[in-house]
Formats: sequence, C-alpha cells, structure tokens
Amino acid sequence: MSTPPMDELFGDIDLEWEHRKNRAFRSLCFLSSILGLAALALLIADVLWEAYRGVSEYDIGIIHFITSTGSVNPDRAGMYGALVGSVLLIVLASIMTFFIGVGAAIYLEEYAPDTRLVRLIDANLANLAGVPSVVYGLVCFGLLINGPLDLGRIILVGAIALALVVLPIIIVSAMEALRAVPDSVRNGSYAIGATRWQTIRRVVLPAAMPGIMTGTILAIANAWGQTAPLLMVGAIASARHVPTGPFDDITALTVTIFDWAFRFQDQFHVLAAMGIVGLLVVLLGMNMVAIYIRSRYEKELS
Amino acid sequence: MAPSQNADETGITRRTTLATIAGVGAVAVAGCSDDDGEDLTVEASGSNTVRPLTDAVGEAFEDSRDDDVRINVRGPGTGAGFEEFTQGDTTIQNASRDISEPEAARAEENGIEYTRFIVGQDGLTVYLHPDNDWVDYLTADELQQIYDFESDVETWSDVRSEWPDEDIDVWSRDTDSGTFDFFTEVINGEAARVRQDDITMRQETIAIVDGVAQNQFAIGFGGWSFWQENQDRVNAAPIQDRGESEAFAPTVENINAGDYTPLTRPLFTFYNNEDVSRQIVQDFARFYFDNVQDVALDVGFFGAPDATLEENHETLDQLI
Repeated sequence: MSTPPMDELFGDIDLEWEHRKNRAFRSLCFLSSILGLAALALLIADVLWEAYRGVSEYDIGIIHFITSTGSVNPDRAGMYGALVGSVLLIVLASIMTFFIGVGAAIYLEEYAPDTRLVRLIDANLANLAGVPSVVYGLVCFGLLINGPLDLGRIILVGAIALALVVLPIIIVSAMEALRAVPDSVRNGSYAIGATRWQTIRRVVLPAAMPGIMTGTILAIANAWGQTAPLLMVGAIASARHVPTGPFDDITALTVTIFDWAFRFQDQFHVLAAMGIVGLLVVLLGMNMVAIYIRSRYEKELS
Repeated sequence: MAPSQNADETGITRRTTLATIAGVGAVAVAGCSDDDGEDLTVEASGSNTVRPLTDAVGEAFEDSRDDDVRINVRGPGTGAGFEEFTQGDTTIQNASRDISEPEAARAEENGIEYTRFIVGQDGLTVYLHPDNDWVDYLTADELQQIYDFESDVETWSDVRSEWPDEDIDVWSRDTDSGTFDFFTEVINGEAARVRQDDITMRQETIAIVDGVAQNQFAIGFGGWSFWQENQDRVNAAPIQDRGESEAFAPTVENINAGDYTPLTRPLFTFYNNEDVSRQIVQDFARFYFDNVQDVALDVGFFGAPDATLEENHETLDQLI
C-alpha cells in the first residue's frame, strides 16, 4: 500500500488562489454586515441629532414633551395623547394575538391530522405573514367600520388591525418553537400515563415557551411601529385627547410623527425626531422586559 | 408534591391573565358610560391639506370651553372624505375643491343635505432667487408663457426683452398634487396643462424651495407657508392678474383683502344640515367663522375675507 505524495494529489489546485478566494469572501461578508450596521447607526445618529436640536435650539423640555398632548402650536405640542393610544393599541393587540396565535400553533402542530386542508392552512400562513400591513387596515375598515359590524373608528378596531398584521408571524414562530421540542420528550410523558392535554401543558409548552416568547416579542415590536393600517382605520393625528379605553378614538405615536414630519415649520420636524426617540425607547424597554421573561422561563426549565 | 406545586403556579398566572382582561374590560365600560347626556364630539374628515386649519380652529374651540368637547379631524383626502360625508358618517367635510357632480348625486341618493361654507384661503406663491433683481412683478400671462404647454420660453429675455439673456430654470410641484392642478388651471386655463421639457417637478414643496434657492435664474411655485418659513432663501414675486393694472405681493394684507388673485384658492367646509341642529355644531361653526382669521396663520393659511365670513353667519341663521 502506497499513498501518493501530497503534491501529486493536489497538484492541479492553485492553493494560493484558493486562499485568496477564501479571504475575499470573508471580507465581502464582513462588509455586508458592516454596511447594515453603518446605515442603522447613521439613521439613529440623524434622529438623535434632530432631537437634540429640539432640546438645545428650540428649548423643548423633555418632561413637557412627554406630558403634553398634541397641538397645532409647536411650543405646546407633546406626545402624551399619541403615546397612550399606542400603548393601549399594543396591549390589546398583544392579548388578542398571544392567545389566538399560540392556540392556533398548538392545534396545527400537536392536534391537527396531516390532511390536505391542514397543509393548505400551513402553507398560507407564511403567505399571510408577507401581506402588506395596509391591506389588513383596509380589511378592518371594510368589515368593522364601513361594513356590517360598524364598530366605529375605535382603539379596539385599531388593535384588531394590528393583531391581524402580526398574527401570522406569531403562529409561524410558535409552530417552529413547538416543532423544536423533541418527540422523545412527548413520548416520555405519554409513557408515564399523561394525557395529551397534560403533556402539552406541563411538558411541551414550558419547553417551547422561550421560542414562543421570542417570536411574540418580535411580532409586537413590528406592531408597535405600524402606521399604515392605523391611518386606514382613522387614527387622529392631532392627538389632543388622551384615549381612556378600547372604545375611545384612535391615536397613535407613529401617525402623529408622520403628521409632524410633513408640517412646514422646522420645529415640528424636530418634534417628529423627538417622537421617534420616544418610540425607540419604548421599543427597547419592551425588548428588555421580553428578554427578562425569556431568561426566567429558561431557568425554570433547567 | 412537585407537580401540584407546579399546577398552583400556572394557576396564578392564569388568574392574573384573566384579571388583566377583566381590568381592560372594566376600563372599556367606564369609557363608554361617559357618553350619557349630550354628545360633545364633532366628527370632521376630508382634505388632508385643510385638516390643519380645522384642527387649529378645533383646538382653539376646545380651549375656549370648560366642557369635554372634542373636534375629531381626520384627513384621508378630499375624495375619500366626501365618500363618508355623502353617507352621513361625518358632520363636517373639509375640502380643497368644490363638491363634484357624482359626489353631489350620491349625497342626494342617500338623502343627505349639506351647506357649503368658504372658511379659508391658501395663497400659492411664486418663488424667486433673492439675487433676482430684474423681476419687479409677473403678470398671469407671463406666468402662462413660462409654464404653458409647448412653451417657447428658454431665457428670461424671452419673457420680457429687457430681462437677462440667461437660461430660465423652471420648477413645479408634481402632477399628483392639488397645488399643481390649481396652478395649471388658473394660469394655463386647464388643469394639468403644463410645459413638457426643461421643467423640474418635485413631490415636496421644500425641494422646490431648495432648488430655487440654489439658482439665481430659477422660478418655482408652492404653498405660501413655505415661503414664510424660508424668507431668507427665496423671494415671492408680486403677481398681476389678467385685466388688472396693479401687481400684488402675497402679503397677509393683500391675501386677506382678496387682492392677491388669481393664485389664491378658497378652502371649503361642508356641513351636514341635519347635524347643524345640534347646539355644539352650531357653536363650533360660529366659532370657526369668528376665529379662523386669527388661527389660520399658525398653520400657513388665511381666513376667508370678512364679507364671506359674514355671509356664512347669515347662511347658518337661515339653516337653523
């Protein structure tokens, strides 16, 4: 038995060239990741600079901005009315989507037989997740405001629109999380005599919860930034009144920011930047809470 | 022991969740019960351009009263707003143009009677570079020469022979805007009729201000408020209407007096006659006519002339 020498085996390969290709590909990947990051950094820097201009140039107090409602006078305008509307919308939408979304995922993943209908639903969920959000706004306008139900332009309808936008995302991610729980765990549970319900509740769900939470958080963050569906269901951009419940008129921070950005006064453009900072702060806060919940569940499991 | 403990724990979570839902429900019911007694909400919709004007008056109206009155103003656009108004969904319809025939027909079909009030004015302004020292004024005909379809104006001297023999840089709003439609209609005689080459069109008025501010030989047009906000960067040309012997600059006095023609366009509000029987709607309408001139400037518009507002009061008297 004789092994051919190395230079004979790889004689036709230019190693130097291969290494160069390797390095080139690595730098290309690095550049792509940096480009995305740089764009984000530029965007945030621009918004922060504009917002800083509001505090320094126009002397807008941050507390005043947070606690004042909307106004046509930029000296008086603040984001309180819009912010409360956004929070109400997101709380309602989260409650609706979490239970319906996780319920649908459990059914599709744990109970549903592998029929053609189920596979059709399965395939269409991914398509629904890609539908532009303004379409859901139109659907809600047609069915719930202008249509047979006639609920009016209320927070509840806005929340339903947002829920519809993010529901497919939550279902798909929850299904992924459930699928990631190994079958051996389920079988072990059945083997000691647990029913299906007991298995899902005590074994599968706790194991899948961190994954479900991650998907839900991402979906809710998506809903938090939505503007188009809320415009469709008649959000009030001026936001002079603070909504008090699900049957009140719709206000939303994103819609108010959109309005401010197109005013002719420069001071409103600065206010829009300050509103965006507020939007981002709440978003970061939500993510932090979510990460905390997630890590807690993970600890409980181990 | 361990499993039952676990069950207790999830039980608490579930109870907390139910309590949260119940809490939200309770707040909802509480929100509803405010509505007994007289309804103090007035719904307005329509033009997104006019929306800030009604919002400005609405805010002043709300501030002037002690009760919890609400003027809700939405701005889906004049057309979409008429859709709601002609179904009787809204009390006030803001419009940057008059009601169209199909819209009026639909109102009649649905048995909706309405009244039109001219409440405000928007002064379109012709922007010039600050170093443009030759244009003392422009006539409507000269504007038409510059902007008309198949215009042969290439240099300023093509407009008036004593003006410099330099290429004119023509700017305009884009063809989708109501501003463009209005300007072309009053200057060129037909909406959307405009020169096809050597013209720069922009979707945002501020882009036109920027463009004109960068070229001494540029001309453009857009909202009055953008000139006000950028007076250090662009000048406004005085305009002489056809059949007039005097040119008027777009000053507050000239526009309020109705002298700045033909580039002043009226802004309308339509009221649903049935809703005018509500005291709060009457109060708001009167407040609107009395105060629009004061608050309009804050949002870049003008109130309607005194005579028009006086007429509005009389029309309202007859309605009641």
